[in-house]
Amino acid sequence: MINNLKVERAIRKMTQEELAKQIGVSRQAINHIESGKFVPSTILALKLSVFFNKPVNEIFTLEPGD
Amino acid sequence: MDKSYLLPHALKKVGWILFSFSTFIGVLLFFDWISLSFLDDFPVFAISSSWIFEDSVAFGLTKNDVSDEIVALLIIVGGLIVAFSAEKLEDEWIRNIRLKCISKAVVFNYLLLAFCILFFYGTSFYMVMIINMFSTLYFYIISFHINLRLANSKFEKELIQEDTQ
Repeated sequence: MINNLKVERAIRKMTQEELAKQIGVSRQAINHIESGKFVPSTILALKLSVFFNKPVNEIFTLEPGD
Repeated sequence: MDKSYLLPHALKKVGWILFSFSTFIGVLLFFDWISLSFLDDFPVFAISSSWIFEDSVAFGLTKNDVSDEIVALLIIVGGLIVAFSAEKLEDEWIRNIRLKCISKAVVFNYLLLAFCILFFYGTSFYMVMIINMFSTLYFYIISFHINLRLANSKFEKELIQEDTQ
């Protein structure tokens, strides 16, 4: 799964730590989601979607191998 | 893993002190480097107790050197507190690491046990069984905390690299 979380974060000029605090997770979690090393749960994906005011599938996209 | 199963983070330090101390005493007792003679012949209630050259006891009182029992229980209690107390910020990423580490610890423990079953016999195997009582807990605790440390130090390096670009 790929995501454009880093882009969305950059548009709002936020650091990973600031985003993590807003969502209520660790900055390592945000870092690992952005680098594709960790797939967030449905709840976390929805929280990010609500925060960025974008549909979930505009932030997260399935890859052919998924 | 549901966070509600985890103990408060504040207990972690207590757990580490108890776990470290009891591990240290346990190693000393295991290799007979110390003897806690004041705990010899302690009266205990046994559901079942049987020794060679002694009468068996079932649901009755008997006497036993309880130093190893006390240390074993302290290792278990301390280890469980360390293993299952929450991190400062317990999120789903850390829960993911926990789950992976618990799975690996169980599998690794049984693979090691299978190896020991094949190559250790008699009193040596008795020693293996003693270690096996605690080894899964140790493997999980070591694995989980090393994974956390590595993830954090890698993350800090990436942050520094980002700052210097």
